[in-house]
Amino acid sequence: MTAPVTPLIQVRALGHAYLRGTPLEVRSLDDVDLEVCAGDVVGIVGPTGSGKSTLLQHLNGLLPPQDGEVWVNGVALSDPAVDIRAIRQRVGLLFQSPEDQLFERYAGDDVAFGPRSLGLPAEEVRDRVRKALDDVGLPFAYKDRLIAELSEGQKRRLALAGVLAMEPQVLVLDEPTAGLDPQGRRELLGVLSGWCARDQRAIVLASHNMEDVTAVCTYVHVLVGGTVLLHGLPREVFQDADLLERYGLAIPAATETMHMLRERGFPVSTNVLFTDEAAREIEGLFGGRAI
Amino acid sequence: MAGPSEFELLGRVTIGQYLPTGSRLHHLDPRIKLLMVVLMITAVIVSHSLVGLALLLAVVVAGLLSARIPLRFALAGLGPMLPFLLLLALLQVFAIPQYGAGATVIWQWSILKATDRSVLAGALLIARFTVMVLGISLFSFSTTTTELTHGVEHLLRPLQALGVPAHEFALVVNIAIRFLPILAEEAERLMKAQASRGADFGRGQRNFIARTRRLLPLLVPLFLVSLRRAEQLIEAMEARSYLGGKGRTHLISLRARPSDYVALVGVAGLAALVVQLSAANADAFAWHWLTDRLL
Amino acid sequence: MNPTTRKIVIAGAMSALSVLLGSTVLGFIPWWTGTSLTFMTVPVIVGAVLEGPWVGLAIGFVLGASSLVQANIAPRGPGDVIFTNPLISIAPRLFIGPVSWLVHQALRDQDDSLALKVAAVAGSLVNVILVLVMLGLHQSTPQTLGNPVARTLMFAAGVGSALLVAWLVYRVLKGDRAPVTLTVVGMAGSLTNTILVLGVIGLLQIAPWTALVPIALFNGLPEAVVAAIITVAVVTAWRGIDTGRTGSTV
Repeated sequence: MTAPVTPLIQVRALGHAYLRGTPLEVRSLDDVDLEVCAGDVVGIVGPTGSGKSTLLQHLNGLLPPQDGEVWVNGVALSDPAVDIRAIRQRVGLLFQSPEDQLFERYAGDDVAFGPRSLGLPAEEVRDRVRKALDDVGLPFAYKDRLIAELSEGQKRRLALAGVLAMEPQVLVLDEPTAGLDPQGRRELLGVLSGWCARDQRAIVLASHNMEDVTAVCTYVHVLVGGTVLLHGLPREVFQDADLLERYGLAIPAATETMHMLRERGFPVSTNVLFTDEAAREIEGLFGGRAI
Repeated sequence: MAGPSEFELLGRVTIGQYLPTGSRLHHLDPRIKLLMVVLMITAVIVSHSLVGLALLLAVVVAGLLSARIPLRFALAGLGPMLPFLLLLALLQVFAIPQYGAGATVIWQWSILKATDRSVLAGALLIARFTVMVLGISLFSFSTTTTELTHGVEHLLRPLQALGVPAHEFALVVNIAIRFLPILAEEAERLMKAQASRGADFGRGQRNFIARTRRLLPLLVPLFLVSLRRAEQLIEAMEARSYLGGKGRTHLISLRARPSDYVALVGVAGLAALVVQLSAANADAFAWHWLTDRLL
Repeated sequence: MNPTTRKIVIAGAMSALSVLLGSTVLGFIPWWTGTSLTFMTVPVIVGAVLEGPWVGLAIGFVLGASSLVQANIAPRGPGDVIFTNPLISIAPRLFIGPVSWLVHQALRDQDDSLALKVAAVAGSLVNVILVLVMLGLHQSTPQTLGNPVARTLMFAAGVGSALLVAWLVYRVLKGDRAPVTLTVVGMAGSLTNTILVLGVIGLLQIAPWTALVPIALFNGLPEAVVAAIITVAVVTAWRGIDTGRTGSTV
């Protein structure tokens, strides 16, 4: 980010409890702050049940804020008069395993669901489907493919296209790579970075997978028990390996290797996220010779 | 505006609404409780006697009190029905031609005509529904779903000898109870995903075409997800060599105590009495007795 | 009879779905008559088509038991009063599955002569039903049907719709197209529910026949159409049945 800009999404002191006001009340979010600006890829990391999904559902108004406030483009979501459909169009949300939610027979019809619910004319629906399929790296001809005959990775990308066809400015994703093979993962992350790089867009993604986070995220929030435990640049956050491990969170494999070497007394930096960086550190141990 | 309950389905699934007060009624053998409910329902349906139904009502209310279930909980089920209940009663009084023929007319205004028989029919209708609502509430507030499935299976066991797959049926009920929250969650997720893509689930919308059109995107994946989950469960059960009910032992064995039998005999006696009252035309007797004293 | 694991589990899953549809907003469409259209019967129909009559019977029972309990402890609306009686909430639902299965069996693998027979039976059944309806109307409003014009019109409508149904059924059976068969199955299952529930209400004299016949026509028929649409969509998607289209509408 360069100059200070109005954030696309701003979350202040957000709190949420399920079954509020009953004896079964469960607090799932407490005093959460978050900011998403154009160009950001914000990662939300946390163990199962840490409130990640609940937080994401606040970002497009699926859950209205109980405590605190959420602003999208400066519009407060707690305002009862807010145009919630416009908000949901602005902030696109892709749920976990979205391929289970495809409901049409043919790929194109599923992508067209959003544009059609906006009441767009057929020509523009077609245009949007073409653009969205293109964004996720599927040829336009795939619109006539039977969904049942697509691969799992293709189905995931098709579901993503369904959200992109709404032409959101912020894309919110829950565990976008869960269950994909390494190839499918790389492709999807490539699609996401490519999409985000254009037109003042931003991404928020929740993930278990630290490699995903290091690969694409510009900023990371670590959510534990409904509160933000740590936040910062990925490099800063993953420095605190002990703290993260105490909460059962893995750190990137390269970072972890460096921590292990350091514990054994090797003079390496733990400020490492990627394998090539780790390789350079290890080369350093051997006096800079390539190994 | 998205209310907090726009997508919340689980809260409205009321089967298995259990109120653990730990009363003696809660501890009765579930088989006995089931039998008692069946007896009560039969008596309510068969009986044509207001006196008998009043008797049943008194016993059910006593049961609710002794089970320490707040009466307002049980009555909550009656509230929303009241207008329709009255409408149905009025239909009985004025619109069923059979009650009009050959009976004494006690009130008439142009084509509206109430006879002694039609008024009795209306009163019976209200009494029946009230007893039924309170009785079944009593049962469901004091019995867990686990107890219920065990009760059903044990009661049906004698039928197993006749070839009725009682154990399997109990398993069906069990699986259904376990699937219910999973499917509700799945439905909620689908609704949210589609709302995120511009679908409008705001209630109060009464447009038939619009509602039907947005149903398919919701229902088709919901059916497919439940069938897919079922396939996974089938695989898991077959991998563990599930072979059906024959020769299976039970982790929980139900044992009826003397107090259970006392309760059952009591209710059976009551049911028989109510049916007998109806057959003996007790209402007419009570009516004459009352009018003789009062007038 | 020894049910397989498959039958038990599918019955359980579809039972859960029918309970979910029957007890939440998911299973209803508001309708201008004031009584919502329901398609909570569809899991029963789907279960029967996929796994047979016993599975349909079991699902129907669970659906009925749940609507009995629902009506008693947490009624959705005033109409639930009627369903506090197990003769209305449970008994009719037992027939949805077996009837759907029978219809599916009859239509699935047919040859020409059977197609004709079924078409004839369906046509005459429609006629019988309409005649009964008219008798019911006649009993309550003799002056309407006493009118010769009205009577002729009714008669013509009865014969006409019987012929129409016979022709439709014949086409369905000749064409051997799974989606069309499923349409008929879905409608049959849903109508079984409507007719039996209203029939019992009428027999128990809870409401007069004159009030029930319009409900059957104005609620039962659209309900059957919705049920048929959903049944076709679900079963063709699950079984990967060809619906005759070759691409998206984009």
